[in-house]
Amino acid sequence: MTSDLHHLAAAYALDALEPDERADFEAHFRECDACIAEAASFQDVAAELGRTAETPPPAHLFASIMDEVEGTPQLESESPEVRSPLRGIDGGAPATTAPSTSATSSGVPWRNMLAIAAAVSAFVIGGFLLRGSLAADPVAELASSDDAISAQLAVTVDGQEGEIEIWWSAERDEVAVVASDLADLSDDEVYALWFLVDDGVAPAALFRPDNGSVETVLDVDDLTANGWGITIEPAGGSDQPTSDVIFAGAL
Amino acid sequence: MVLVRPNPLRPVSADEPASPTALLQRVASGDRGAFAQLYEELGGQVYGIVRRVLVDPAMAEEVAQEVFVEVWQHAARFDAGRGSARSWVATIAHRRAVDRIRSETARRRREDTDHETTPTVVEDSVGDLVTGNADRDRVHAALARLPDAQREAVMLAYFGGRTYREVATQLGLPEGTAKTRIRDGLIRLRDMLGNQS
Repeated sequence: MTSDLHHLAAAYALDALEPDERADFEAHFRECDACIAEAASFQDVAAELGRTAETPPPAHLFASIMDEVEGTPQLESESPEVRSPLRGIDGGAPATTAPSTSATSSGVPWRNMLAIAAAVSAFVIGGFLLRGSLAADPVAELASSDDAISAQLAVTVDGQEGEIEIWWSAERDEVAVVASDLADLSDDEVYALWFLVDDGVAPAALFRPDNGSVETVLDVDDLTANGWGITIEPAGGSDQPTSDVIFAGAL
Repeated sequence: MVLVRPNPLRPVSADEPASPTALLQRVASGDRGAFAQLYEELGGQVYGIVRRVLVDPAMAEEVAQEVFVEVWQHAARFDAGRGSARSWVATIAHRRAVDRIRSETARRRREDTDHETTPTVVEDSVGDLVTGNADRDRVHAALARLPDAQREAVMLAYFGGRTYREVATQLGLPEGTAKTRIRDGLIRLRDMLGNQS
């Protein structure tokens, strides 16, 4: 190694080299294990510095990222002999991702619903904990039907309170909504349950909690759902969601 | 009654939450649930880094999204034997933020005849900042013990997104001095923080 280059490891780790120096230094990795190790150790220090900047991201960023990831294939690992402390990041190459559309995706709740639902689907579990007595309880009766599928919906916006569990029988065209700790709404608003279907969303049912809780069985259209989403809509419901998705879950 | 609701993005289990490194390894095999959890763990740090470097919130959001999409795409390249996922992701985040600020600067320079932009103010009063997070407090404490001249150069380079030459210009130093301050500062921080990242 030349001592000149060796002394660039710190500035390199802070991305503080000029472009030509960065390229020279990365070329130098091919012949200098010491510089790789040195740069990697400084990158760890830089990452620690980065912790001090930790800031909660805007709530919609998650959905926007999941939305883009949904249509983005993963790349194969490259040859194991990538000689870089970046542990796999392209050297000085420009970002490989397409220009992001995040700036324009706010306020488009339903397009993200499937992505969110897919992300949380691994954790959709049967809500058996909520099931109490089966006797003379329409929800329990629906839940006990052979084709009933349940989904515990996940909160999709920061600060949202409550739990919602959906039971669905495609044979009966009914859903049961079991929810607790929801915010009560004014008279001109209502909670809307949406079917997530292959090409978008379809309205399923409306419900209104009392003191934050609801436990009800509702008729729905004969559709094949991939998942569920919840929004708050004007009383009477809407054809399409008009506000952010607050809960979602996949089947 | 207020129920403490388990985080819906975490597996329902009594186990400790998975580490970012374990999560990233699952992301490499296409696990979107693990990716969502990784975002939970590292989203604040990624957004924080790019926001500090870029200042502009809309641009920061855009770059943070690029970073996570890149993490998704390239997760298979992550090698846990060579470092932590946190470090890997933070490195990508900083690199992309700096690339962006330099291309933005270049673009503005091309478009504007008046390119004398005001230097970003870089906060370096870290002395008695206590955040309540043990890891962050440890870093703040180490920064506070750094000689002022080194801290200034390191912070300007990392959070200001400056090259060492720009650091030299801004602080009125010879280039070699700026480079040395950055290097000495990082060596000292590395010693203080140990090899536990």
